[in-house]
Amino acid sequence: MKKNKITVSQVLKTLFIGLVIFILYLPIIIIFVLSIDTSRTGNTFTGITFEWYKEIFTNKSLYMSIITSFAVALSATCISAFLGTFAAIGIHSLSKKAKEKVILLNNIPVLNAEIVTGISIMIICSVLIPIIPDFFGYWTMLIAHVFFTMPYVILSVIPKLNELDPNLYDATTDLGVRPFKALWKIVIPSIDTGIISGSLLAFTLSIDDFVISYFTSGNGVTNFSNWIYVRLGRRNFTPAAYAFNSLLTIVILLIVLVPAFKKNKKRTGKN
Amino acid sequence: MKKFKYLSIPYIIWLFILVVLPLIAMLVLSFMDSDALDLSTAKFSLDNWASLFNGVYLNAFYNSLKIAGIATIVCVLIGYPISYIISNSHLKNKFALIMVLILPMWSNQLLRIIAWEKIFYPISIINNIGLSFDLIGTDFAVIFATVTMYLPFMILPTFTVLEKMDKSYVEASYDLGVSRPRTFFKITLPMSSKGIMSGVIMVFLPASTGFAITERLGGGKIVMIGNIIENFFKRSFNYNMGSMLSLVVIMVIMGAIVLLSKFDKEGETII
Amino acid sequence: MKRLILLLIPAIILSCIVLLTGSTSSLYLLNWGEYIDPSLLAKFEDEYNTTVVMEEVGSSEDMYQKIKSNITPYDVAIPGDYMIERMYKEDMINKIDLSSLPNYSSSMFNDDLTELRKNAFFEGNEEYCVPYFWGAYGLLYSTRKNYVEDTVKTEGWQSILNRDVYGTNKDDVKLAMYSVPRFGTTAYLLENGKDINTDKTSDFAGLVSQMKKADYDLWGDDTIKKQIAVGNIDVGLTQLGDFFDQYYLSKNSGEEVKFSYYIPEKTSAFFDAMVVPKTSKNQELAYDFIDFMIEQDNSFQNTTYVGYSPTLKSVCSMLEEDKDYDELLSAYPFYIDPLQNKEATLFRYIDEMDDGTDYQDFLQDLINQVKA
Repeated sequence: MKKNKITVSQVLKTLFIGLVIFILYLPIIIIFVLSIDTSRTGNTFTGITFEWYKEIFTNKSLYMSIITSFAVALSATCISAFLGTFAAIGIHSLSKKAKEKVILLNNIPVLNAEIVTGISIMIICSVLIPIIPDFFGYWTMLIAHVFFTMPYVILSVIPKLNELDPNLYDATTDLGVRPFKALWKIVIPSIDTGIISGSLLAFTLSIDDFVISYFTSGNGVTNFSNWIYVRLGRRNFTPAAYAFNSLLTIVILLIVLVPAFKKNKKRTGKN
Repeated sequence: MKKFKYLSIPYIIWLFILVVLPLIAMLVLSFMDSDALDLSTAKFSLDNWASLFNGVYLNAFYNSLKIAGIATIVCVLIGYPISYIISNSHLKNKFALIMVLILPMWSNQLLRIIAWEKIFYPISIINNIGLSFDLIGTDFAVIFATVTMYLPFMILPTFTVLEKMDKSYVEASYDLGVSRPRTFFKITLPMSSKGIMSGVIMVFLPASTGFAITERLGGGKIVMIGNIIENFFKRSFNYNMGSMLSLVVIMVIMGAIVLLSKFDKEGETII
Repeated sequence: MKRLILLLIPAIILSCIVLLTGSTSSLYLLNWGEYIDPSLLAKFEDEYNTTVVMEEVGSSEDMYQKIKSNITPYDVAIPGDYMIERMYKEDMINKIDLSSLPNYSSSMFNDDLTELRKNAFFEGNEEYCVPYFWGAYGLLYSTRKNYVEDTVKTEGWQSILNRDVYGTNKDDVKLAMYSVPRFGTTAYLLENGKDINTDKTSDFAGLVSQMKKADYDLWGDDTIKKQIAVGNIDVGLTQLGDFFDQYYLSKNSGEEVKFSYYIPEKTSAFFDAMVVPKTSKNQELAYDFIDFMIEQDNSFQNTTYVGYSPTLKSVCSMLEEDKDYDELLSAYPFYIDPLQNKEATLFRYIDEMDDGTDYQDFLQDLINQVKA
């Protein structure tokens, strides 16, 4: 019976978490309300409509910018995760002094103001324009995104590598397994959580970026954030942007919560 | 694993091109008086650095430190307890709950800022439910919004660290009769300090160098160092001053990290 | 790790979609956000059997930076007046062969604008830019508080520079100022009888103290017009086009229009025009586009979509003859006649102040001092 008693501290803790969740989701709720509001200005609530959701699929500049955001974010995340993991393994194997210096260098993009990172990449990429005329656009944005997300992947993976039992790798190779296979089959699965959290971070940073993307876009390629930023002025941008955002939130919430509830049901079911 | 140190070489080269070269370029630019990047008319000048102690910039630095500082402290005071509570709970779906808290980050930050505008301006859509706040232009609005935007960045690293922390130390402490608060301050907190540090960096940095939140929620009245750097790079194309100020920001932050790492026993780096 | 490999599939698919858009035979257009009717672009694409790749920016400075960086081969750009002068001076734009534009005639544009271009703009500008939209600067004000309209109309620029003119309401009224330094300092210069293109630092002597006293509730660019329309701000300095932009928006959303516009006696005019940057790889298509946009019906369609004042006389006539616009034109005659016989001049490009400091830096510093 004692196990099921709800204590005051439990109630307080739940309320606290609930309050924080509510405040974090306040803007999301408002965005949702705006997405079903018939008013284009969003100044007052004038009625319910789903026309803005339909517009996501008809407004070309909008959906192209969304596709671009996802293409860049997904690609950059995959590339950063892959290259970042191997780079982290490389860095981990360096001598202590070299390691410290490289990690310091690695942290600079993290510490730099986004606008500085954006301009630096733009300048460096523009040097290549005479050689590759149509370079700017998707590729430069991708390079920029890989550049600023890789340090985070590395920073997530290195601590995990530090925790790794060094004997594990040696034992595997002693047993005759080739180095890269040992890496792939043994080392990488053990640092899995580091790679995943690093990738999560990379994706989060990439999907939302607008400063760096602004400087590294071109040739008509633009991402969702830039699409919005440019329209914050002249005329109100269409609420279809809010509609898309709400759609995304709902989809991800479902992806996260449905398996969680299923898991819960299973366990209580067994009881 | 020593064999793999060569894996780090490509990354080091990449970092050199994209980090070191721009830094050197910025350093050079900061000591010059040039017309954007047109070096043919450039001349050496100490004017940029001399103007560092201009009242306007000092004011901007102060605003940035104040607002980002308060926001970061609030994030620690709310984020760490949340991670602690969830980590120590017996919930089966801890990770799902954390994901729910992180989810708002995948909503476009510009849209979220607009949502906060609707909340903080006196006349807006929230009047429909009888609410009205007049907080635009206040420090409170900027700090509040900054906290909600970056809180997940504090929750993620602290939760990760708390989760993988070896709980046997805590249990041993209780077994020895040490009180809960004392155990917390002597064992838990020091062991999870690295998570707090990464959280602090991931919140403080974008908060102090960003410009969008202050521009829109501060009613344009609050000038932070991010706004000033943005103006130099995008309005007057004064890359010299922009570089100088960016370098100062990097130096201040690196200085702070070096100081903080003195408190970090293992002498390791961020996350 | 395996999960990541799964992610590669959508990544590659989406990337291909992005990479396959745009080609070298497209028209690359650099424009302001929401400054052209999308169906006009579609019409152009059909008529000339091409695609338009449009990039949008929020300021003339952004446009300058994008063209200067040589990243995209823009064929047509639509910068603002003083930026056109800068681009001309820095040899960034091509001369336009006006005879190759069938729809062009030198007398097709509004007389006031033509005269300003002749007398108050750089020599020869007629051959470097083709006007797109224009207007004047003035005061956008909310009509929700009954004392505001009278004060604005009697005090002119003072109503945005000096709270005292509102008497007992001076703490109640909400004032907003443009955060773009060039425009933020204009009201002060006009009110104090200075040339808006002055480069004398002494002309700005009293600016910081006066504007600091005004204690603006909001600094912004495009946020001002929206907040005035909503009622959070009472008076703000904006472009004429901002008024109609919000007017159309409110009407289309079924909201009451609770704001109006007043142009003080001395003001400045502005115009945005189409230029052909030197980055253009498709001169012929650029000319086709410019010609297309100055065609009467296309220009009319664009005007009614965007809301800024039309530069073509023919479009003005069409609006006057169109019964649907009777109400609008009688309430707001400055729609097709922005200057209304008032004294106005254009913004010119200024590089340095008389003491050698960069013009933009100088103004930005003043504004930062006001805000501090």
